[in-house]
Amino acid sequence: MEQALPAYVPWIIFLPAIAGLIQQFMGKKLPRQGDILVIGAMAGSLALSVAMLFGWMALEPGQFFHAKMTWFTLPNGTEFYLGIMVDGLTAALSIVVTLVATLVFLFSSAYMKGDANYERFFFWLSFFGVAMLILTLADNLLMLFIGWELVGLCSYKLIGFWSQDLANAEAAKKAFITTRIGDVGMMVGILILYNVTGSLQFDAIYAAAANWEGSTGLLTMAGIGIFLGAVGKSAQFPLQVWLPDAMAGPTPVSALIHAATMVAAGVYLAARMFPIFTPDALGYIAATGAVTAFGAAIIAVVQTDIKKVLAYSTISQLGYMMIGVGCGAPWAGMFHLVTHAFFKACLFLGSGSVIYAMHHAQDLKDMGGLRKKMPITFATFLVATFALAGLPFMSGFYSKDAILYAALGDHSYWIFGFGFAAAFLTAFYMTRMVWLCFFGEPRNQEKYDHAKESPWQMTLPLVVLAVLSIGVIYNQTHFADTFFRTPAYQEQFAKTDSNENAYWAADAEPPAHHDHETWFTMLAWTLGPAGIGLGLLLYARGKRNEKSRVMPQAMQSYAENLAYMDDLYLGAVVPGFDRTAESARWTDENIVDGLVNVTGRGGLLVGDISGDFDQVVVDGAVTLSADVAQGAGAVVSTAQTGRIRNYLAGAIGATAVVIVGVIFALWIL
Amino acid sequence: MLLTFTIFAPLVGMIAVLLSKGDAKQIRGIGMTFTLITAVLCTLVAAQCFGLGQDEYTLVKDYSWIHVSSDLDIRYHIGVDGLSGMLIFLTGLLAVCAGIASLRIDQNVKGYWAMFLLLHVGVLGTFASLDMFLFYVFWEIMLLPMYFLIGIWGGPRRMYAAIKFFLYTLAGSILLLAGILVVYFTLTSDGNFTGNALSIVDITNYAKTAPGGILGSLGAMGATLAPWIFAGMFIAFAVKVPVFPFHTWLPDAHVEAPTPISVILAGILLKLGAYGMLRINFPFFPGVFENAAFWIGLLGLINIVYGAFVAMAQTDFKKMIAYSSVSHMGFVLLGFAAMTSEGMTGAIMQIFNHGTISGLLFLMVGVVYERAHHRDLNRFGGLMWKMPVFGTIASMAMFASLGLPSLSGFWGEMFTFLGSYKGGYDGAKVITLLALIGLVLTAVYYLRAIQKVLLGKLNPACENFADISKTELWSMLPLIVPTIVFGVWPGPLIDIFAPFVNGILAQIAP
Repeated sequence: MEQALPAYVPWIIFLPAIAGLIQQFMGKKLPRQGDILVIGAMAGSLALSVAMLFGWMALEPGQFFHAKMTWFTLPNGTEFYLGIMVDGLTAALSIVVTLVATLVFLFSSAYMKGDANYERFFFWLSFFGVAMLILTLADNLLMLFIGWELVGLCSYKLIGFWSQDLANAEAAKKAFITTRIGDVGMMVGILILYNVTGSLQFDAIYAAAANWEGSTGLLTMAGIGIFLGAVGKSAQFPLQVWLPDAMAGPTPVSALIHAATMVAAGVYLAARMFPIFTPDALGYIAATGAVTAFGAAIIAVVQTDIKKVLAYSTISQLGYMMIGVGCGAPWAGMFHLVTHAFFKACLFLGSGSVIYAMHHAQDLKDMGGLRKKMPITFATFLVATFALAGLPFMSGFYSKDAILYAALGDHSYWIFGFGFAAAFLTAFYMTRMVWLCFFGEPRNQEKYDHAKESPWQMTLPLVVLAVLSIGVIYNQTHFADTFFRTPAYQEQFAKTDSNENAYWAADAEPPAHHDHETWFTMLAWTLGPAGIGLGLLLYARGKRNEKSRVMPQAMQSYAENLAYMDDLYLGAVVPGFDRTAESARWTDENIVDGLVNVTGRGGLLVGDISGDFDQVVVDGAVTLSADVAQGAGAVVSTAQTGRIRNYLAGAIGATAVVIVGVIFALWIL
Repeated sequence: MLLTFTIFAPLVGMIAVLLSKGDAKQIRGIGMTFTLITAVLCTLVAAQCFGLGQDEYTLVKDYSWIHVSSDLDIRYHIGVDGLSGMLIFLTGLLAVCAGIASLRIDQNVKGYWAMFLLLHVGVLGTFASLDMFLFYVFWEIMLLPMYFLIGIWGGPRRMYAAIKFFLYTLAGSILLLAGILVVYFTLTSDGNFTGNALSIVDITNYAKTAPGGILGSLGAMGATLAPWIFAGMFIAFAVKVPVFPFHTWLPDAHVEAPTPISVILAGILLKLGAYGMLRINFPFFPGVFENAAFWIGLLGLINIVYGAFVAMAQTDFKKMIAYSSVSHMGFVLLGFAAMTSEGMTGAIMQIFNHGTISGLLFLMVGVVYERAHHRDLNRFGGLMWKMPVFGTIASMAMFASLGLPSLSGFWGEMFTFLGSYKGGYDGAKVITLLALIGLVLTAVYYLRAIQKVLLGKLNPACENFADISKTELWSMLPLIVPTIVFGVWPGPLIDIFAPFVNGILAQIAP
């Protein structure tokens, strides 16, 4: 089933890596601090990714590209590889990564213009691109994990890009540590899989999972462990708390890392490891996704910072993708990953364009009426909003529809219900935000007067992404059909209970989209418009603003307090750890070391009264050193050099005594 | 003769320093020259250690040194295999870094360099010794210069720290000596044993075949005695590693020691403990080791988690790094206990990589201390904006230490975990999973330190700080390079010690 890897594929990684290195070491000498080089290299990767996609599509169904070389060998002969595997999953994600990255880099060249650390910003962007592509193209869990940690590093550095302000540094730290908690889970999964498989290659792991020899519980644990890594990275419940804070980073970073690619890597991981999940693990994934999708959507309704609205929206949408994977339809989750990447990047960059125009104000209270000032930003933002709200013929409609249908087919009715409610809320809060931002009267006249449309480097990416938010350009059936027809996935599909999986499993033609039950289709068509309608009803009359209460009081305060999760962590968990650390320090200083000091004093006493050996070494050392301590303040002089000679004589003498003593002991005894 | 030259090059340097009539500048020149010569020789030695067979030593020299009788034949028996070759290379590397950092020392320059060079004689000799008596002599030689280097050139509480270090290590040495004596006397009266009762090679070989182990000739008494001797030797080495609860000398010694000595202490001296376990303790008593594996793994776990918690609560930058060493050396024990190829590989990688990374960390603290004259984490802030080169290196070092992939610290932890989870003793899985907590705790204290020292607004008290000087940069470069190179390409590191790993696993977990 393997096909030789086309020679250009590794260059998808090499191009941005080389550009990043050149820019890092010679950035100051290059024109524009080397940003053109970085953008160009990423555009080159995009071109190669497109070529790779077409190359892969030309293969027979079920075939994939694969190449590997030995990286290093353990003493027992176990080999670890550097390898690239290109199946549908990889091809899709690598297009998303390179395309969004190219557009965001271009956008940044205007947005970050004049920043004191412009060069450093582009270096980290470039580094991020490389790490994300390693994660995407890897053919084994070890390389994936390495890319995984490195994107975390880039995320840390970029969230804290303006860390002269300690709040930003705080947000960066929170992001890194929270995701690292998830990584502990991922390590558990890796350890279990390696212990059974003896390898971290995906093909070996798939094979081991298919013919699992251990208990099912262990495989479930491995699956959930791996998934916990995704929970951290993709900001799923209960580790979602870092993503809203991560908005402290520059807005292009939010668009690239915290909306389109890195946070979606968790979904990619879940889809990549799909063949190893047991039904229990899948159930856990779907439940996590449902709780996250709905919980975050409620919080998004009350946010007043446009980036925070989008952040909670991202968490919610990532939950959606997880529902897809958990309900046995990773293709639906991946489909939503792709569409979401484009429309959410468009929304984030659009908000960046607004923030740029508002001179870094990002609270809704300063906005209103901006559609007249920023027509392109407004139009693209609206298109992307329609996609996110799930209006028919927009990309989000098809992908969300696929996920909800999968949940239904999986007979996960409460999950379907949560997803359904979240979809409605999504349409509602997006309408609220668009209205408060672009419609109505300006609420901050001064800022409004200064606002103007952003330059082409910023509007061009918006237009491209808005076009990609239109649904008819995606062929959903094709996506689902061919992207997952590798044997490992088919085997797993055959085991899961879902509407369409029987078709995927058996190489059969899938049902056309409009074969869904009529009630489902009607519901799907009305869900988005209903949410938008309610939003207009509440906000379009101009009587409500960003602070108005829109939900029952209990729900409102639940949402305003971010589901009390931050309170829990910062109020109980973190102080708990700090107290443990403090008591460990106390124990160490007073008990462990206290015992040592007591013993030491006793020992010295014995040393004084016992034989020569002790006197020379222990006491002699003490006396000599005391001398030195007295003379420490003195100027360096020949006299002192002489004294050093004495110490040295003492040292050598003591050593000699030890040696003679030992020989003596050996000889006598 | 290469190995002998390597061991004694610093001794020649010491004599040259002592005989020199020059001023401080010349003495530094002589000291540094011999340090560089030693480092070059160390590299040549390490280069000889690739591609050896299992249980094979190279550069072996074996002369009679003190011949008392056919039973008591103390020999100058030296040789290296992949493990000791790698550690000798590490010694050379750190000697250069510490040497460059020592150029700033201007109190008693002559004495300092004499002690500094003598210290390396002890270290290199210990790594190269294949005779237990020789091993012990070099082990003790190391102790004295260290004592003086902390006690004379250290900080305000240097006397306390130096004496504590000295007595603690000496107590350990006595246990080691007791163990050596018991082994020696048992073997000299053991009819089946034909080799030299002080030769590490002969005893290791005998341990493979002797019924009931090397103390087997004592019958039931030997079986009772073996765990005690094993434990005694283990404690002797555990003090150096240091293993909980024998670690409390370390923070004191580190805090008081001058920067270059902290570098050597963390980078090399701690490794000697782990080396001793691998060279003497485990191979001599493979049966006992198997039974003790659980406890060694447990101690590793305690080191990792307890050390990390204590590090988290520190406000002294250097003390925090010192406790991070306690935590990171726990991985070495965890890897040993597993008795798997992955675990042993991870542990030995950790030995090497912790050497370079902790050296870098202590140099980094030295740079800050040099400028601020204090190490209170709460009294810095924003150094990244004032000292960008330093900030970049410092955060790289800390990320390397917290196990970021692409930097060398990652591999030791990763393979220790992979191997430890497979571990051959009951409870290995639980211990490994608990040790994973260390990953989070380490990230917490390092990121907090980065935030407090490097990020935020520039603390007005740090207004005048200059970025690192060329000399400081040169003292760090020899450690930065392997941190990155072995992070990306761990192959050569594994290759050099692979035969050793196969050998010791054949010995302790056949």
